[in-house]
Amino acid sequence: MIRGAKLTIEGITKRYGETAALNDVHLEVTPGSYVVVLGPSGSGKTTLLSILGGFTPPTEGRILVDEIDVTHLSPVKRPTTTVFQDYALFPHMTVAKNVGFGLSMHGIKGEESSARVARALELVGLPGTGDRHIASLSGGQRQRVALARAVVIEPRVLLLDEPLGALDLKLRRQMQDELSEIQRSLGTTFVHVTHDQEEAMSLADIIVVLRDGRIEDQGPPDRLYLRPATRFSATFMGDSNLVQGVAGQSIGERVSVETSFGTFLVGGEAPVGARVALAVRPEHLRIDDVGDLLIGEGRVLGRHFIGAHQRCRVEIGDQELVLNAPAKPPLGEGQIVRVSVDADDVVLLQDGSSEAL
Amino acid sequence: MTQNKTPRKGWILTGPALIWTSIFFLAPMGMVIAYSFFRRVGGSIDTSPSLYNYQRIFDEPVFLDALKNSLEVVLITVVVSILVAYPFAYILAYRVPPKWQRPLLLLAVLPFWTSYVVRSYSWLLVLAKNGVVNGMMQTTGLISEPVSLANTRLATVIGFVHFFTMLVSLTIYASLTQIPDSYRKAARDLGASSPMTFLRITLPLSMPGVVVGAFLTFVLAIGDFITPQILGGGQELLLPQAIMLQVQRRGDFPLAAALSVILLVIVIAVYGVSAKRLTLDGK
Repeated sequence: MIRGAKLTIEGITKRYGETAALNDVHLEVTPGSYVVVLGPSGSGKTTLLSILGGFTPPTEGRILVDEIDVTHLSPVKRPTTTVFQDYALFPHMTVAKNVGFGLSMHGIKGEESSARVARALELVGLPGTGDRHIASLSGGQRQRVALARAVVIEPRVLLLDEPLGALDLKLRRQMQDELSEIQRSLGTTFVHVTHDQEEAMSLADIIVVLRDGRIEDQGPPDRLYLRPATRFSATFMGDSNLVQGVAGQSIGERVSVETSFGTFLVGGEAPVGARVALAVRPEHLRIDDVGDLLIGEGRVLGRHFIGAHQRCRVEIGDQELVLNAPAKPPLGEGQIVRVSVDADDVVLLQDGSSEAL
Repeated sequence: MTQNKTPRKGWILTGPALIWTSIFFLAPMGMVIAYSFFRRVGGSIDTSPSLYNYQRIFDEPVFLDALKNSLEVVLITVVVSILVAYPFAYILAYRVPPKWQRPLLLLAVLPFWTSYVVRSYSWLLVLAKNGVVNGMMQTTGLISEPVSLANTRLATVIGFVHFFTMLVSLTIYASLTQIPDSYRKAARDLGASSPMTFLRITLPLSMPGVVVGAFLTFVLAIGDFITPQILGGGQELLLPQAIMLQVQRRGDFPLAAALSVILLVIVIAVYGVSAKRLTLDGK
């Protein structure tokens, strides 16, 4: 069993001329964990991966693998391996030659090499395909070969650059499960970059939300989803209703927030008079008055039947909220409903700021 | 592109090209092949088919020598052109910033813009006994007496290489730029040193460009009359010169035709070999 390495990112900054692709990024990854760096395009996530892999030198900061500074090590010598977005499989070699390439570069040849190649192919679910040519493989198979080629040399940290981006939806979901299984069986530290928040949530032990070269939020998927630290992560990770408000008095660990729907007492901290936002997930809004906080009476503007639930747009006052109501009974357009929410499901966000909680 | 349902429409569209090719390519080619089996008797031509001309070519050393000289000169040209062109193309494709690649390519193909004949005579001036090279070597004391550089096989090869290096650079450059960056990155990532990355990844994947360049060089050089005539200057005979000799001096068209057919067969054989190499690429 290979144990993954601890990965430490210390104040990494990357500037291209005037623009900073990454700005003072700090991150500590515990050995053997699956970290997903999530961000929209242009957030710097690929640059970060490229710096970790040794392909791009950072302008400032250090990268440590198991407390050893690798910032200036070339990719050849780094204990990291990258699975490239386009897989970068060598088209003039067979599957086995591709997977065995790293081994032969490390001086491992003959029987040991072929045994390890066979094991790696088995791990990714492609046993006995060693003689096939790359051109004859499907997209999903190429993805697997790329993964086998990367893990066969037993890297301490595996870097995956949007590894599932080129696959169709069904295959992507299937590969997610397999990736997660492979990571657990190997125990290697995985750093996976994606813009797909569903992919991030289903794979990650820790999600790191990146925006404009800065870490916006980081934590386990459920914490990030249920208690997002910023407006950006509240809206980027799934849908959120945002309600503007002004903070009032704090009572214990709760703050009263004045909004257009009334004044609510919610958990969190904010100085008196601060502009804040309340974030509520659509599935946390209820169409009854059982919730702790009554938001008001509203009119259904539209409805989509999704299957597990019906997704409605409800207008309360001059604001529109999106909510997921139970699939039954069907709501009609123009119907008047009462909307409430449990206080625990409301997240208090500092307005416009990107500070952590 | 839509599929043609009526074959007639296809014939109409390809007709002009077919007629053109038949009149100006296939017919003359057929005549050359037919002529090669005729025989010159005195001032007239005996049209009863025979292998007489081929017999002569393989019996008389002067023709076999011309063939051997041609193959030697052309193979040296191909090898030297590749050796000169590859590093140039490699540096251009991978080391030069993209915005400078096009201007440099343009400079590289400048020799194509000058006339073939003018270029050959220019080399004659450079390589002549009182030419630039001899002058420089004499003033630097490298040699005391002028060396005969023009009118040698070396001069022919230099003239060829000057021209074909540019051509091969283009084909190799095109091949190199088609190799995704990520291949070389992945190779390094998996522990391959720079020389290893070159030998195992870049070189094999750029072989199509090398083979195409080598093939074009071979075909164009082996059929070329001007460069060996001007620069080689009659010290040795290459195959095209031997053909011209039969046509101009001896008026032996059947023998010239037979020599041409041999040239054609060689070119076809080389094409067969390089085409095979190209499909081996696997991509």
